[in-house]
Order: sequence, then structure tokens, then C-alpha cells
Amino acid sequence: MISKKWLYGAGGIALVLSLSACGSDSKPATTADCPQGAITLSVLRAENNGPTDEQMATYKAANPCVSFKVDQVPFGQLASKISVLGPSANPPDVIGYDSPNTQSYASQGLLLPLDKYLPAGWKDDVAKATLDENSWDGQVYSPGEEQDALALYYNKKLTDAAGIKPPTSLDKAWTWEEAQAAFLKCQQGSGNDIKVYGLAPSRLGNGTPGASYRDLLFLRSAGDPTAPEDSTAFKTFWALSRDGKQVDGWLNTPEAVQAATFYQNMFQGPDQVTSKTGLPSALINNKACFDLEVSSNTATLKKAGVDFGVSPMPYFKTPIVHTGAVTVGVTARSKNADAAAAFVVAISTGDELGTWAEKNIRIPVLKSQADKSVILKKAPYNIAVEEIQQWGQPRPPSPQFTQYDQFVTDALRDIAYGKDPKASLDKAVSQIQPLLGQ
Amino acid sequence: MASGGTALPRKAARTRGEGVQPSSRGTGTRARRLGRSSLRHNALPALGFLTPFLLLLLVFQYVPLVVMAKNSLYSFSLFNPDAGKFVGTDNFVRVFTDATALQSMLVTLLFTIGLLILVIPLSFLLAVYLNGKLAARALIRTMIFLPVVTSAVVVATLWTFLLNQSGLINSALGVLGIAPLGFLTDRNEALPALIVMSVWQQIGLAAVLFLGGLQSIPAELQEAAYTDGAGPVSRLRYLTIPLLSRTTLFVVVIMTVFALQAFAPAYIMTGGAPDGTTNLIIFQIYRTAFYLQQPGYASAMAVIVLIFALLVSLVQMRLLRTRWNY
Repeated sequence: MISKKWLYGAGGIALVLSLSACGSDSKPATTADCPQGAITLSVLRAENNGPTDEQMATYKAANPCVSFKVDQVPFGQLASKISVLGPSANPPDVIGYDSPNTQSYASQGLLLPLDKYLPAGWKDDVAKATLDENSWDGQVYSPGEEQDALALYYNKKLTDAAGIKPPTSLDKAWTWEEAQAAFLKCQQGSGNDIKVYGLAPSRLGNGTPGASYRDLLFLRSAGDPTAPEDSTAFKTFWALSRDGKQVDGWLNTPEAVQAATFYQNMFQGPDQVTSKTGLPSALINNKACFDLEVSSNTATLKKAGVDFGVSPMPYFKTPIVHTGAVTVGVTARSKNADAAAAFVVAISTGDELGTWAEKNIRIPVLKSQADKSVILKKAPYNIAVEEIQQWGQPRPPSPQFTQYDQFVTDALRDIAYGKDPKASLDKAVSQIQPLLGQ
Repeated sequence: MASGGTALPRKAARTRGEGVQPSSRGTGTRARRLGRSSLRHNALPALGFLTPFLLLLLVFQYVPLVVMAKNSLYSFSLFNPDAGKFVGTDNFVRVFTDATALQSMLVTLLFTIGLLILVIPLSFLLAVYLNGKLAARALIRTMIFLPVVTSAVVVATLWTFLLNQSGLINSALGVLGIAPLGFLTDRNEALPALIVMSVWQQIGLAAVLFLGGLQSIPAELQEAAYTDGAGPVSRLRYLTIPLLSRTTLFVVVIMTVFALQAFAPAYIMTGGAPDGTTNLIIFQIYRTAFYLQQPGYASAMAVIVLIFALLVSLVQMRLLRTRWNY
């Protein structure tokens, strides 16, 4: 039996240890090499996304007093993890996150404004879409690293066999009607017996149709940003009012419904060209002629040895691609805010960004760095670069983007599965509208 | 026969209880003192052994429950929990006026009923089959139990590939000349598909529980019934099923709780689609808290699910309470 003395002794030790832990100095320990103290920055990122090990190693080599402790999760769980850890008492110092969420995070006080850390002239050098997407209330919350955009990849073996020559410059981009005709021509089989799909099913989002990054483009491209501001064509293009407070009459316009009906017919009926459910690596496995993919797909296809080409994103009335990619920011509650901001700015600006982008064939957000790249000016990379420069628009910026994205994705997926397009869009509007402006 | 069998053990138990009662007042007082002393003597070690687990239970079960109940009275976002606003019972009122939440509850109810209707009789029949003399019995039992110990995420992913438009099941149907079915995309087929998957996953556990119940029925009762001329069906109907009522109750409660807690099928296989027809309530709670940033409202839904689960379990225990002992 444990005696009282032992119990009291153990309790006393535990108390002393607890108090000493609570009272420990949180200041970084100083050494001869690090007179200001060694700092460990905690990083939360999605798997296979930034900030990369390579970026951290490069930074550490130049700044030996800074080290990193990385926590990573699958991309699908990243937003949930950030929403739990970000506001906690001990948040990660640096987060890698999807840039359209910047305004949601910034408006709720989750991110640190970085204006004072950014080098002079940065705002003139950065892509406008990046600046719009990563700013809130006049302040910049992430410098961004790369931009990305969807393009129409095609399997040359299959398109050549079908006698199809897709356009390879933006001025000759297909309309969706032309693209649909090409998909049908290349497709092998029809109805319930399709051996090779015209268009590969989407792997974006959770692998089902509807991801707003891709499929909202169908609706937005049916609009016209040059039309009068009170016209439905103008509102269709933006899909959310410019002040972010109105979605009714912007997402469910007649033009959007018509585009959504076209989109629905791609999944069923006589014009079906794609599948409602996933088909991994369809382009690589000769199971699909075309695929709407991001620029990193180039490396995947090259590695797989596929003979492929890249064509611009098709459109209805106005060409458009969504900008945005995974970016990096500093949490507002970081205990190492200055060191974290210095790291984020270092990897997102100057030659360090250019070197990283060139080595990994990414499209840097800074025009000065993008202009230096030779490879990005050549096919197949030039298509995405030109799309971003000429057609790029952020996903509808709003502090409620997370919710907007969820309901729009649900609506588009239901449309793909056969639900009435107008009813679906109206339902999404009724779900989103009460949340706007909260 | 069975009722006679029930009365006797209860009487015997009472008799055993009386047998340890002291025969005189003096002896009784001494025995009570001894009992109290023994209780005191054992209390401290018992407390020592129990405390860590009680603490864990308290910290990881009951404290979160209290926090959840508190959160359900507030409106706030996970990004900025400090800016919470007390809204009283508004979140609870909203649950019963929100079409999405109501649809989600209905879907979960249908999922639960579907699962119970299929898993209880099928697992019982499977247990009866496994209770017989079979070649390679251990192997068959292992095969049946394997899905239970497999991660729900793995099972859901596996079934997603099976049920896809170009999946194995549709390919097999195609060979038979049957057009592909929209198992995961058709609003009439998606929920039944999820129920079938969950039955496949859970039937092993239910069958093993029933098997345990079957094997604990005394062989003498079966022999007595056989001697009295009862055939296999009569023995099953009048002897086995009534005597398994405790096991049945346990299986029903376990399966109900499992169905109410189901998350992976909606999260991985359908995302709640098509048109919310597979939007199970736990998935809806998750979406509301993490994607829609309304943890207060999500907590209110969770409290309602908790109360509902408790009520359903109580009603089931009442309706299925056993009248038979052996």
C-alpha cells in the first residue's frame, strides 16, 4: 500500500514541476552563435504543399538561428485544422493555406498583416489577382508565392486518332460549344457504354463534380464584365456583388442557369462526355481525351511519359480562369511574429522566390521574377502564364468565401447529378445570402 | 417451460442471498462492522486504480460534453471564439426550422432504421449458421469479422471504388446486360447503397455477439425441448429467440448508436450528395462547425443528437426488456 508520505511527496514534486513549467522563461535561449536567441518556428501545412522542406532548408542555411517544426495534414483537412489551431493560445507561427481563404482568416483576426515587412515596391510588382485575393481592408496578409490556373490538357494519341487539333494560343481558344463537339468526336462509346470519355472526371476538391475552383468557371464565363453594372451579364461574371454582400441575382442569373444547364448535359443524356464519379489518371491511362487541370499536371504527365498538349480554358462569352494557389501567412497570435514574417517574406520575394519557382517550374506571383523565367515562356507552360495574366480572376473574394465555396460546390455537384439547375442555384443563394455581411 | 426456467434461478439467487444473512443480532452487528472495515480497507486501492481512468473519462468525455452544452447557447466562429454572443436557445429553435438540419435528421433516421432492419435478422441467421458444425469455422468467422476491425475510412474508400459509375459492381452488372446504376449519384440509390455498405461492415460484430448469446444458452434446455418433441423451427422460435432477448437488446442499442454516429460514409463516399439525401447528421454537424464556421449551432445539433440517442436507447431497453433468464 502506498503510504501517505509517498503520496504527499509525489504530489509535491508534481506541483513543483508544474509551477516550474508555468514559470519557465519563454524567451529564446541565447548562445554564442545566436546572440538574439535561437528560434523554432512551428509550421502547419498541407502535405506536398508550401512552405516546402526545400524552402525551409534554404532559409535555415542563411539564418542558422531559425529552425522549423512542421505539422502537416492532408489538404482536405487543412482548413479545419487551421480553424482549430489558429485561434488557440499556442498557434503555429506559419501556415500554408489556400489563398481564397485569406479574407475569411484576416477578417476574423487569424492572420497577421504583413505590410510593414514587405519590401518597397512590392505592390507594384505583384500580380493584381494575388494582391486582391491576399488583401483585406487595405492590408496585405500574405505575399503569395505562386499562381496557378486551369487549362485544357489533351492526350495527343487520342486527339490525333480522332483528327482533332485543339487551339494552342489564347486568341484561338475554344468556346464551350466547340470544346463539347471535340469531346464528343474524340469520345469512344456513348450512353452507358463509354470506353474513353471526352473529358476526364474532376479530381479536384473531394473528387466529385462541382468544385467551385473549376466548375464555377462555366457560370462566370457566361457573363460579361464590360456590360452595364446593373445587367445580369455583368453580375453573372462576378457571381457575388463587388462589396460581397449580395449573392441573389448574381449567382442565379438567367445566364448562369443556362450555363449550368449546359454543364449538366456534359454528365448525362446524348451529349454526355464525362463521368459523375472519379476515374483516377484517366488521361494517363487513355481513358479520357481531355482533362481540365492545373499547371502542376504537366510534371505528372511528363513523368508518366504521356504525349500531351495544353489548350486554353474554353468559355461561353468571356474567357476566365480562377487564380489563387496555396500560399503562406503568419498567425496573428504567433509568439514569434517578427521571425515568422521575415521567413514568409523571404521565401515569397526576391531571388529566393525566383530560384524556387524556376527549379520547381511554378508561376511566381511577382512579375519581375516571372519575366526572368525562360521555361515559363515556352509551351506547355506559357498557356497557364498567359491565362493568369490576361484572364485571371480571384474566386469571389469575401470574408464568407469558405461558406460560399461550400454551398456553390454542393449546388454544382447536385446539378451534375441531375437536379434542376435553377432550383439548385436558388437553394445555394438562399443558404449563402443570410451569411453575407455577418 | 421457459417461464419455469426463469423463475427458478431468481428464487435460487434470493435463497443464496438469504443464506449469508447473519442468524442473530450480535453476529449481524459484527458482520456489518467487518463489512464496513473491509470496505474502508479496499476503498483506497480501488480509488487509486480507478482515479486515472475516471480522470480521463472526466477530461475527455464529460468536460467536453459540458463545454458543448455551453457552446450550444452561443453564436461564434472557430476563427474568433472570443467574440461569441449569448443567444440562449436560439440555436435549438433554429435546428427545428432549418430545412437542411431537418433533412439530415430524417436521413439519419432512415439510415438507422435501414441498418437495423437488415443487420439484426441477417446477423442472427449468420450466428445460427456459425454455431453449427462447420469445416474451417475459425476461418469463416475471421472473414466475417474482418470488416469490423478494418478502418471505416478504408471501408468507405473501398466501397467508393466498388460503387463508382465505372466501378466493379457496375462492370459486373454490365456483363449481365444491366445498365450502370448511380449508386453514389442517384438520390434514390445513394442512401440504400450506404446502408448496404454499413451492414457489410457491421454484420460481423452483430453476428459475433449473437454467437456468444447462442453459445451461452444451456444445452440442457435444447435437449429438454428436443425430448419434448420440439422441432428445429419451434426450438428457434420458442426457445432460442426468447432466451437471446438480452443479446438482441444489446445488439440493437449498439447498432443504433453506430448508425447515429456514422460519419465516414457521408464524408468519404458522397459528401452528403445527391441533394442532401446522404447527409448524415454527424457529417452535417462537422460541416456546420468547420466549413460553415458555426460551432455554436453545430453544438446545439450535437446536444439534440445526444439526447435523441439516450431516449432511443431507453425506449429500446423498455420495449425489448427481457422476461427470460437462464
